[in-house]
Amino acid sequence: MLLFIAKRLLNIPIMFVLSTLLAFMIIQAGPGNPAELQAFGNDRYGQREVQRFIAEFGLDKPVPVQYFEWLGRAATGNLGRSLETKREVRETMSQPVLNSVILATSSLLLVFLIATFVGVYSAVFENSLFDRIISIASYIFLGLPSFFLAILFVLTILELGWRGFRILPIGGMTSDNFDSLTPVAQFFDIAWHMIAPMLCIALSQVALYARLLRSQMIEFLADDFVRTAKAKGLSSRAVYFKHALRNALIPFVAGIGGLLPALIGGAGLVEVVFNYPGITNVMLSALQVKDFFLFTGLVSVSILILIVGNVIADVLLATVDPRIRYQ
Amino acid sequence: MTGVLVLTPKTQSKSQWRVIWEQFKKQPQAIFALYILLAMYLAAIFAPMLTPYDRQEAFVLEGVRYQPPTKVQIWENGSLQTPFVYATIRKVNLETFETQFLEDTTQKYPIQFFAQRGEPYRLFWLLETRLRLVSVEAPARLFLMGSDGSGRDIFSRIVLGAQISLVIGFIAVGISFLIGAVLGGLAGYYGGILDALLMRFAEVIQAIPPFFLLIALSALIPSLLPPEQYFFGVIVMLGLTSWMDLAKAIRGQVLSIREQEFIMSAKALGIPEGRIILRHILPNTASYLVVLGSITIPGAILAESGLSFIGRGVREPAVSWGLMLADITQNGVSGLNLHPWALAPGWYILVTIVAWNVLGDGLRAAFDPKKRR
Repeated sequence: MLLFIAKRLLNIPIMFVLSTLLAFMIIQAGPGNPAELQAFGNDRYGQREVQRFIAEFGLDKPVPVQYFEWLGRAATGNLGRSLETKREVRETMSQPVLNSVILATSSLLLVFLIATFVGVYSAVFENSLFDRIISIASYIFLGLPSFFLAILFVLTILELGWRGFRILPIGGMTSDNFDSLTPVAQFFDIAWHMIAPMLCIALSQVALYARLLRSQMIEFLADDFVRTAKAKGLSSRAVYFKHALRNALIPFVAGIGGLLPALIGGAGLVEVVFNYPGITNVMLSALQVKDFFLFTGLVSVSILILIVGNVIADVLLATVDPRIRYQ
Repeated sequence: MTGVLVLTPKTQSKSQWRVIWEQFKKQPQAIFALYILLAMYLAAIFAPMLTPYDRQEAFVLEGVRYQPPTKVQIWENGSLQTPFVYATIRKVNLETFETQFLEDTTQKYPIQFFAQRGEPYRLFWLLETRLRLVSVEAPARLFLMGSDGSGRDIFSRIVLGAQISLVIGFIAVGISFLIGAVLGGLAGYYGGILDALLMRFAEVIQAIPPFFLLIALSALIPSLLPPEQYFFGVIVMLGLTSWMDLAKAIRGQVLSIREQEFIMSAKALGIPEGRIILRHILPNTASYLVVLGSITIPGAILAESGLSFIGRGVREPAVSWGLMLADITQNGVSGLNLHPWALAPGWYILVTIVAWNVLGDGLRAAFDPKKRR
C-alpha cells in the first residue's frame, strides 16, 4: 500500500511537467503576440518599446527554452509577471483561485448531501412515484447546460425581485458596501452571494452521482448480507444506512477526489453567468490580451489540483475498498 | 433468394444487429427519443425552407428589438379562418419609457404557404429557390418565437442554428472516433512501449481540465477566418480533446479480442497485420462503439454550446444555439425577465441532450445481453 502511494506520488511531478509543457506549447502557438497587442492603438508604443517588451519577458527565445525557464522559476514559487498589468502572477491569481476553490468545495458538499439523500430514497423506494420523478428530473438536469441553468436562476431571481421578493443577488461575490461591513457581516454577504451559483453548480452535477448511488444501493439491497441483517431483526434504518449505504458509498467517496477538480473546471460557465470573480473570468480576459504567463499560471494551478485530486481518489479507493489491492 | 429462405430451418439464429434492433424496439421512450432526434435533424436539413427569415435578416430600423412572439390568429367573429397575423405598432410608454408592442387590427395579413419571399437560398447546396414554408407580407412580421436584441427572428435562427449545433456533435465525435480507434487500436494490438507511450500521452492531455484545454485551444484558431473555416476549426478542436476515453476503451476491447482464437488463426493464415486490425478486430468493437458514440455526442453538443456562449466557439455571422444565448446575456443579465422568449435556444439544447441521453440508454440496454428481455 505504501509502495502504491509512493508510486502515485512520484507520478505527480512527471504528469505536472508534461501536461504544463503541453499547455504552455498550446498557449504560445496561437496567432498574434502580446507585444503587438500592447502597441495596438498606442502611439507612444513604437518598435523600440515592442523590442524591449519582448526582451523583458524573454518572448524571443524558443518555446521549450521559455518553458524550462518558467518551470525553473515556478519550482521556487515564482510564476512570473503578468504581461498586461506587470504584477506578479501569483499575486494576481491567488484571490480568483481561492474564490473558485471555495465555490467548488461548497458545491461539492451540496452534491454529496443531495446525492446521498436522493440516491438512498430512490433505491429504497425503487419504482415508486418519488423514484420516477427523480429519474425524470435527473434526465432533465443532465440535459441542461450549466450556463443555461444559471440563466434560468437569474431569470427566477429577477422575476421574484419584480414582484417584491428580493431574496438573492444576481451576480458578483460581494455587495457594493462590502468594505464598510464588519467581518461577520462580510462573511454573510459572501455566503449570500454564493447561494445561487453554488446551488446551480451542485444541481448541474448531482444527477450523475445520484444515479450512480441509486444503482449501487439497489445492488447492495438485494445482497445476502442485507437480507441477513433484516432477518436478524435490525431496524430498516440501520440496514439501509449502516449496511447498504456504507458499501454503496465506496465508489462515491473515491470519486470525490476527482469531483473537486471537475467542479473547478465545470463551474466555469456558471461563474461567467453570475459574474463571479473566479478562475474562468480571469482566464478569459487573460486570453483576450494574450497574457501568456497569467494564463499559464491559472492552467498550471488547475492541472495541479486535478492531478492531486486524482491521486487522492486512487488512494481513497484503495483504502476504503478491501477488494482492491495494488501491487 | 426466396428459395433459400424457404429452405432455412425456423430455428436459424438472428443476426446480432437484428437482435439488438428488436431489443431496442421494446423501449418506447428510446423510440420516442429517436423520433424527436430524426425530426430535429430533418428540420436542420430543410432549415432554409422552414424558416420565414434569414439568419441575419434584422429589422432594427423598424425598432423591433425584442418583439414578443407574433400571435397567429385563426378565429374571427366566431368562425374559423385561414391563419393570419396583424402588423405590430411600436409605442413608447411616455411614463415608464418602456417599448410596447400593440397589434394593428385594421388589416389582416394571411400566412402564406410556400410563397416566394426573401433572399434566394440553396436547398442541399444545389437547388436555388426562394420558397418558404410560411411567411407573411411586410409590414407584418411572422416572429413565431419573438425577435432578439438585434431584431432578428428567433425561430428562424434556432432552426438555422440547428445546422451547426446538431451537426457539430456528429462530426466532432467522428473525428475523435477516428483518432481514438487508430491510437487505441494500435496501443491494444501492439502493446509494449507503444501502448505505454500512447496511454501516457492520453493521460497527459486528460490532466488539463477539459474546459480550460478547450479555451486554450480556441485561441489557436485565427479570429479573422471566414465563418465556415472557423466552424471547422471548432469541430477539429472538439474532436482533438475528446478522443482519450475512446482510445482507452477501444484499447481495452482490442486487448481482449486479440487473445481470441479467430485472431490467432488469422495470424496463422498470414493475413497482414493492418488487415487483421481493420477487418477482424475493429468490427468486433462496433457494437460497443455505437453505444459509446451515443454517449459522446451529447457531450460534444454541450461543449460547443458552452464555448460559443463565452465567445470562444462559433462566431457571427454563423449562428448556433450557444451563440444565441450569449447574445442575450452580453449586455448583462439584468433585463432577462423582460424578454424570456429569447431563452428558447436553451430549451432546444435541453430537448436535444435529453433525447440523446435517452436514446443512448436505450442502445446500451439493447446491446447488453444481461438486460435482454
